[in-house]
Amino acid sequence: MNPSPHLLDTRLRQLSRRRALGRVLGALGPRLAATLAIACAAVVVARLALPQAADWLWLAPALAAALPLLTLPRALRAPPRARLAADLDLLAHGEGLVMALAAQAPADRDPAWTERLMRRLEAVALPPVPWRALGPPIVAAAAVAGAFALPQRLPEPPPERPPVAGFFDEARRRLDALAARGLLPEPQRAELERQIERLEAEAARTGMSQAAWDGLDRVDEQARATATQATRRLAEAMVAAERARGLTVDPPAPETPELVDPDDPDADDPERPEPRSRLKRKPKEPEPSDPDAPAARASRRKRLLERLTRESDRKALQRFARGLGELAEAAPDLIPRLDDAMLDELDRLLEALGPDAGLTPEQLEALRRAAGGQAGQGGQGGQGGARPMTQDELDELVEALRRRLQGEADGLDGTEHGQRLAVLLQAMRQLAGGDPGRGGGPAPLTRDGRPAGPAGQVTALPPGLPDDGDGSVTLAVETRAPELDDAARRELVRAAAQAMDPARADARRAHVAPRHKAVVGRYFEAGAAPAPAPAPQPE
Amino acid sequence: MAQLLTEAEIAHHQARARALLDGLDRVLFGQPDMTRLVLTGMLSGGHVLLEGLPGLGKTELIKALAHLSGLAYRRIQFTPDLLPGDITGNPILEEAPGGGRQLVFRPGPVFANVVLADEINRASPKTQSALLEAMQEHAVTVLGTTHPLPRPFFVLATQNPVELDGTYPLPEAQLDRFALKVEVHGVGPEVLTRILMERPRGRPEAPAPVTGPEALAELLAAVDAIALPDAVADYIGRLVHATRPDVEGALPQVRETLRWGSSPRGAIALAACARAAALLAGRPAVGFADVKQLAPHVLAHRLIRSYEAGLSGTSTRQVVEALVAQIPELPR
Repeated sequence: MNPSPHLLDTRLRQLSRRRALGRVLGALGPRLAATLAIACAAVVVARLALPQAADWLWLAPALAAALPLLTLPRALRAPPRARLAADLDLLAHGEGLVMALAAQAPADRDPAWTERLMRRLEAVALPPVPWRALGPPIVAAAAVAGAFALPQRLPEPPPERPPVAGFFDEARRRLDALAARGLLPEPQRAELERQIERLEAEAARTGMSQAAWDGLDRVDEQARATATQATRRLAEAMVAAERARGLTVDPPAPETPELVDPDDPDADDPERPEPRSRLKRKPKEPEPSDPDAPAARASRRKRLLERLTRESDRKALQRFARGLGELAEAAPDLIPRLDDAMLDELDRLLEALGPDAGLTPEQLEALRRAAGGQAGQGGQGGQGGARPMTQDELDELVEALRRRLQGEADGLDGTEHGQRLAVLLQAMRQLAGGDPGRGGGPAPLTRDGRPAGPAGQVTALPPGLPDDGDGSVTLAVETRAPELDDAARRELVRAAAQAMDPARADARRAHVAPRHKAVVGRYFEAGAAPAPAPAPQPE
Repeated sequence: MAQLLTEAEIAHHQARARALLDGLDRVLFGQPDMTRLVLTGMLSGGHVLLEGLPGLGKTELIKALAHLSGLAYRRIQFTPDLLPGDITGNPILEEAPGGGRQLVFRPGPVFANVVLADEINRASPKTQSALLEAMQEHAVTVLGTTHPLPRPFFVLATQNPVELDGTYPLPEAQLDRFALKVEVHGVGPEVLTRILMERPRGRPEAPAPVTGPEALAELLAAVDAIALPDAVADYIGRLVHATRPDVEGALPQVRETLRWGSSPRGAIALAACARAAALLAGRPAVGFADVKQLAPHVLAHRLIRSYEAGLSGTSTRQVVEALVAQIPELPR
């Protein structure tokens, strides 16, 4: 009887499993250690230097653990039975007997040889599992874990850009302020806005470069130049208007410097010096050589006065009629409260103004309806009486209207009708007492006849008639360029040359910080174009 | 694999072999390894070359083996004037019984079961070559007539490695015919004392035969029935192949020390000797240990050293021992 026919096969299976485990560990150990070491290096690099790879770091140990598994099928491949038997023969010191018996079927084996081999097979020591092969992978895994314990470098925040938006917003606010004062025409403002947008976009990409600073400075310079020009024109217009009204009441003394009307045909007099500006003060020096000079000057002064007066009165009447028409259209129940005489005078006024009244057809119709048709009849019947209203008549009409409407305005304060009445009353005040020729008091300056705050740098015209105590009359208050000595002028010229010469741009940048350029520009600009100084507040 | 010999069969054949071995050990004191190798070579069916100094008992050992095995024994003392015909035999002109004359072949001393070629390197190459056919083909051809030799046929040769004057080193082809080359070394003082005490005249008595030709033939058949596992055969093949310096993947030591490696005949002889060794050990199959133990004796004399190895004194036996130590039993 075969004592243990299957012991040999059992040992062979055990040895096969043990060898397979050894092959797996032997194959996985070094490869796993190598891949984990690479993963550890990758994790360390990513932790310390690659913050953008932080989200993918888990892939490194996963791949490191997965890649060596590809070698498992080959490691698990069982060797031929003859080789396994030879291995067991060596382990059991079978001296060939194990191999010989393993080559036979269990039933064919000689029991004597099997018995002889049994003791050796029972005592055979299978090869130990090479657990040491797991040492390097464990160390590498610990290194990977340590690498993950390293602090992750955070992504560097984008470099802080200078407050670009602040600079450009400030430039826009300056433009808005100038536009609100009516000093910056809309086309120029739109153009400057486009330039600011372009500069802001460029600065958003490259930061506040020297080109951006220069562009902002150019925008400011253009805005200031436009505003200065507008201010200058407004001041000249106001001065001219004040002078015209002053001349209406009190002709200037013979010593008063002559005012030159650029539209005067006599201005082409070759004897008159070339005007450097629209308003020029002449020295108070008598001309003993020409006895007719005072008469000629008086004649030119009179013509200028008449023309300015006509234009001013007509514009005032137009504004008055327009305001009355708007009031009649907005508040049709207000005008009929006027008495008949007043309505009659109003009708005469409309007839006198005719198409120049500036009323829309709707306003004119509303006004006529408010007058109850009386104005229309009077208008039709008053064709022969369509004479121009005298100043006294106009004053009386205005005063009467003002008194009448004042009570209405007090009750409608804060409402839309109240605002319209306030506008109309303001226009009446201008017609009644705001005119320099019709009494004292300041005349608020507005560009559209509405009350407004300070416009530009000139808030009010100086008082009209009162003299200065020395017999002279102040017609205008001007500012001029600062008094500069020769050294300052040379520096001004040099600075201007540097600013305009691209070749000297580096020198300019080297000496003038961009944030100071506007200040420097304004300083030197004062020498080229004098900015008007604020007028003294009226008493 | 064929059916293994049973334990009883192995025990029976091992007992016969052990009887031969014990007889040899009784003749030659203190040389158990040598006697075992000689018997292993004989049981493998191969020829054995013993190399050693004179007076070490080589001739007595072979004579004892012939007597113990009960086989026909002839001794040929090789000398420079020995002719091939003196070994193989010569045709002699004789009177025919019916009148006339005829050439009659008279067998030479090679026609025996055991032939002792004493000091074989003293004969001329021509005479040495007379043994080639006998050793390989177990036959002798004289005047176109092939005369088979008796079975079994063993050539046990001796040669002196020191007295080289007037000698003719055996050619490689001749050496390759020997399954084993056994180096005979001197014995210790205890063995010498025993020799003096037990053999006052120095010559042992002829041992009584323990086997006969038939028994020896059975023994040889049993050796052939010893199993050679595939793994062992693969190991023998890799070991023999590793002795060739001209193949790809040869070991550096082989490339440096050897000029020519072993022939396939060496692998065959190694497997046969391993079988004989397994039978002597009472095992039905060859183990790796049998191959490792016999490889230096079977392969060393088949290798040809390089010139550098000759100058450095590296022997082919050392090379084979190094190969046995380096080449694993199982391929990695």
